[in-house]
Amino acid sequence: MLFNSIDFAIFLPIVFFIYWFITNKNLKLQNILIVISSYIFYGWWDWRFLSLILFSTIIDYNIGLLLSKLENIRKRKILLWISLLANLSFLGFFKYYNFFLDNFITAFSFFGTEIKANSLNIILPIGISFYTFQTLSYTIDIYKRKLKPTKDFIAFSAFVSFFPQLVAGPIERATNLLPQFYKKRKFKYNQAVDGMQQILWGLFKKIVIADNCAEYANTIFNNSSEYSGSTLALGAFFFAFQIYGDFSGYSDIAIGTSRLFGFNLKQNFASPYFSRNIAEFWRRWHISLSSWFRDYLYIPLGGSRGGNGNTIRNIFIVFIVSGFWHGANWTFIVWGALNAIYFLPIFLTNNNRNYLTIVAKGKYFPTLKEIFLMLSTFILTTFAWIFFRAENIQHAINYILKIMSSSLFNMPYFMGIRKAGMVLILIVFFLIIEWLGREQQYAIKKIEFINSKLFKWGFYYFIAILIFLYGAKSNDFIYFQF
Amino acid sequence: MKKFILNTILFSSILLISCYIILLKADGYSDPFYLKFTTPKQNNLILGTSKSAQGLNPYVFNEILDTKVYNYSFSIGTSPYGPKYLESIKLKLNKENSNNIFIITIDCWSISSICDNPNDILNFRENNLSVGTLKVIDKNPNIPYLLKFMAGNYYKIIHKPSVAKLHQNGWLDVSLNTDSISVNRRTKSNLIEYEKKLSTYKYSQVRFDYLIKTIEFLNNYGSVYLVRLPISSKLMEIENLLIPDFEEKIKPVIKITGGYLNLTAKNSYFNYTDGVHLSKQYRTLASEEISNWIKNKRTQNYNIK
Repeated sequence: MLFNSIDFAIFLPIVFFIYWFITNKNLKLQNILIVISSYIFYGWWDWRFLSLILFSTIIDYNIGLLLSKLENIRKRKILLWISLLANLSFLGFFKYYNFFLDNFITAFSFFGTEIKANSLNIILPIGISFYTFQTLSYTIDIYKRKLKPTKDFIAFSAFVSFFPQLVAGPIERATNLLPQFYKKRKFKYNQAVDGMQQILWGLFKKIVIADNCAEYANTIFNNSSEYSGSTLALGAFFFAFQIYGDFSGYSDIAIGTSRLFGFNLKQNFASPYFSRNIAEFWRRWHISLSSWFRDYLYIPLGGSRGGNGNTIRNIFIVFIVSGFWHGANWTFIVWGALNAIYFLPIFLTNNNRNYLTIVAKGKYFPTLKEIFLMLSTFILTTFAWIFFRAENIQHAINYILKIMSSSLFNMPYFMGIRKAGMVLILIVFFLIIEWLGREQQYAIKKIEFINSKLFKWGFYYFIAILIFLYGAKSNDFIYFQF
Repeated sequence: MKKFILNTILFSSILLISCYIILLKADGYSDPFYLKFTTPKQNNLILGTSKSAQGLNPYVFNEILDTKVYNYSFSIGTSPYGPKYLESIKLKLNKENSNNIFIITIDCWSISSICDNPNDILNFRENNLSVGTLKVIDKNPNIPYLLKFMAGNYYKIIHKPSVAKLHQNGWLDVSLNTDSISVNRRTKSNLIEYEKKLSTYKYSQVRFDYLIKTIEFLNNYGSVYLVRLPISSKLMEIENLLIPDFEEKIKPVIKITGGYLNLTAKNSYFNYTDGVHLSKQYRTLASEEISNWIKNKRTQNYNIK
């Protein structure tokens, strides 16, 4: 089920009503309702893959309990590996089987050995990368004795399958989300209103910004050989806003929906395009994934301990694995490596923790230096997005070469460029609101530039009307494919 | 909780009413097909794809034929001949008269399919489009159409773009720059697009059979005239590659109609906005030529009788 669909607009109030009016007196019933609703939400897309979620839930629930009982280090390690293998083998099969097979065939044929093997027509279960990482963190935390396992199977099932964040995150840690299933939830007016506002802003990002930008980004990327360098640069710009609007919009709707049910999820995006260097960007972009890789890959690899050589290796591993997590294509690996190359000089010169607070905190305007830093970070990020969006490496290289040609100075042109002007105006409006609200969890949480309550509601109404008027034809969320 | 629900209902109600008011303002500028689904059932119809939707002007037909003609043509994707277009025509036709005029425009694309199997009715593209889905095609406002099928976003309802206007009689009046640079650019773009289409489109026997079924159905309510509209020479070459024996193929179809006018013989006489669609002045000329041809045909038939 898509957040931006009529199905979800009907589903959400029904679940909300049952949750607060029928099951509100019994915590267990509320959790059961969450599990059932989550399975319906996921099964709406393809019920066959519910078995994967159920299997993952059963495996990690039981391994969690066993881990807490065992003291023998070797046995505990075996259990951890069982969990890792079970979860990662599903991910590996569904997401990476064809990639590895194709690359093995290519590698062997390079050495003169022809291998005949057929790729499989595999459907990627949506959200598999997200819930796999969520359940893995549960088992690893128990193994490290950072967390006590739950004995409540329903609460654990609800934690794994919680529908607002099931298919595209934020990837929640058990330490934050699981305890919320044990406590009685009380309806709080402010929390619910806050949730609705965040859903509204998420829908604006997705439907108005991302879907409109997608129209032009797709036209330009899909026909890149026909366009000038300036048009391709514009295409990359549109894609930068498409992916941000799409993914952060999804996160906002997910977090907002959770609030309607009395849950608090972690912030997943914190105005990443206002970052002053790549290190800051990665602290603000897809925070739940970045921190997951930091805690469960970078630190276990040794982190920054062990000299520069090891640190460089670890940084490269984390960025490349992060790229590979996004998709089984060399483009994602290059995208990850490119970000590692951006990040390394900052890290090695100890500048990676220079900008821990948001730019121009407490001020309306940034300094010229800050503008320059933000712009250069944005250009670097957008350049890397070209690899992320391209069909293959060759496509990305051709795209970049054309941008770097003299046609960069031509007037951009593509079919529908007139309409694109309106999208650029909407992006400017979006950036202004994001700038004004950059210190908050989401941009329109408190609209400090409007004092009157009536005008505040007027502003939300204005955003809703913009969604209605400028909403482009619905597209799937990009991150569903990851 | 009570306060939250009341506020949500209030906010949603105001929003829904506002959206409904905006939708009520939809007109011929908002969408290239919308009014075709809001106007009443019609007697005389022009059928076909975007070439006839833009190229055949009912005002000209009305004047010469002295009867009200309605343009119920859409586009290659939406209205190639097939079961769904026939169903929609049946809904749009006022079945009270039997002396109507039907102008059926044909070309290679209108009897071809984009599916792997060009005869796989279940996978015809129009099945999920407005013509294939809407059962109510004469209600104003047509909210289901606006919610499901309106092209682009609703901003177009309040901001009237000047490029295309769909008239109440179904004619899509497109005003594009006709300077040679713009025309060449659009023609070049169409050449690329149609060459791409050539690799995905295939002649469909099922569509051809439905062209015959459509004519047979309309013959019960009047006379059917078959017309092949002109197209620029380069795009004609692409069409000929799609179905090289098109003229041969349609010979048996001509026999069940009131006549066939092939305007592709005069391709170089006409001007186009993009190689496919006639430019403004030539739309009138083509409409006049077809109207006069029909008028002569009808006069001849009347004299014979």
